[in-house]
Amino acid sequence: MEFIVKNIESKKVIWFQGANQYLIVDIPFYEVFIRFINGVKIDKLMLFCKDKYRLSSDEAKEILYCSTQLKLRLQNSDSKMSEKVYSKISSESDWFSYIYSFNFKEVNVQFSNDKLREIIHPKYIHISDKIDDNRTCENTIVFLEIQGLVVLQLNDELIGKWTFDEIHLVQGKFAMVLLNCFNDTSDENWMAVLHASTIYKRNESIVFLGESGSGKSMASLLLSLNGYKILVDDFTPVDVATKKVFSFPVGTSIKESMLKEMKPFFPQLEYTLLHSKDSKTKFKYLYPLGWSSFHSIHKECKALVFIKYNRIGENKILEISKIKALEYFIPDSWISPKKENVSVFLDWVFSLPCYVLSYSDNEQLVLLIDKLNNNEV
Amino acid sequence: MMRKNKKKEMQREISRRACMKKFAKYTAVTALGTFVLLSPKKAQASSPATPGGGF
Repeated sequence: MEFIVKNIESKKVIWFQGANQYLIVDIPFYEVFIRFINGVKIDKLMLFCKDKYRLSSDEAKEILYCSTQLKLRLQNSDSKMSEKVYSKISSESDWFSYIYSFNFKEVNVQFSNDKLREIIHPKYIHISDKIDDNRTCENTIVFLEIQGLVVLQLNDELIGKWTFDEIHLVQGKFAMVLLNCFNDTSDENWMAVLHASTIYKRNESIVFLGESGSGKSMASLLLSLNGYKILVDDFTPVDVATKKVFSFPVGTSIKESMLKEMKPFFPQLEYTLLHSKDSKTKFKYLYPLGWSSFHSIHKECKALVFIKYNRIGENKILEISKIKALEYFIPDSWISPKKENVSVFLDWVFSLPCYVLSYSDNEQLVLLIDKLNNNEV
Repeated sequence: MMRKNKKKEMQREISRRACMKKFAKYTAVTALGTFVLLSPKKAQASSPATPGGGF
């Protein structure tokens, strides 16, 4: 079992390569578990627990039971096989075909029907252009619907297939493929893609994390009216070589419930189309101007901020432990499963201050972020 | 009565499992401290269809 161990705040953080899982553990338990997975026999481990930690027989048995359960979980996750690649799928007529441009690169994106186009295209309208015969692209991304599944291909190679219930995965994977095309790179050169929105001022960026609906996008938009710029919304890629956060040209989604509040600041929302994620969630996109001519921007990260908007409540920013931050954002992020990248990722997180920011007042939000940006928190 | 209890237990089990799935987390408190096992996402994803409860 291959793993990486890091020390932080009196805990051990262990990443297991095959399972691609992270164990955050107190040191005494770690001392037993590490011996267990290294093959030390049960009777010797029982003695170790009793002698070193003065545990009763029952307590020692419980520790070994937990160790067995943990090992089983790590082994079960280890055995998943990758899917077979589809054979080449022939093209069809009457497709929707576009050129997406960013960072001086052009990518041909094709949809086999309108339903698929509606899932992806609205987020990228601002960087798109109709295809014409005189333009050739190095990369072609194709969406097909086959037997009720959404199939994604890059240059005739299968990237993945999902059901229509897994649209957020389709959108995420497409964003990753497009990101790679725009930056001439591949998945293994990113340490992580965080479910986060990122703003920047001068050379430093602040990454806003939080579940969907926590107010990340809205905070970014409000700050964009107050001296900050949006680097990326909802999908924050971090480069492993430079440890910098990269820009990516997606529209920012604004939920219907927030439109009234945002229209005075962004009057163009009056005229943009209302989209639906499902029967309950409707939203509009706000597009940054001139994105298609922009070069990719890369910024150092100053802090990770978990954001929480409430209509009523205190406006405050509090530093939290890095362990707490890891517990919140590992399950919500894609982290490279490559061993070297995991080590860089953990060191990167441990080097950054982590905060929770709660706000109900827009001006207070700007003040708190200014304070953070000026090292006054 | 037994069947009702079983059903309740099953519901609790399902919601616990759903909860584990949502947070991709396996956690325990032992005599030698706590542990949390976390799984990152298998693939990159955008915001899910149903907004979550927040921090």
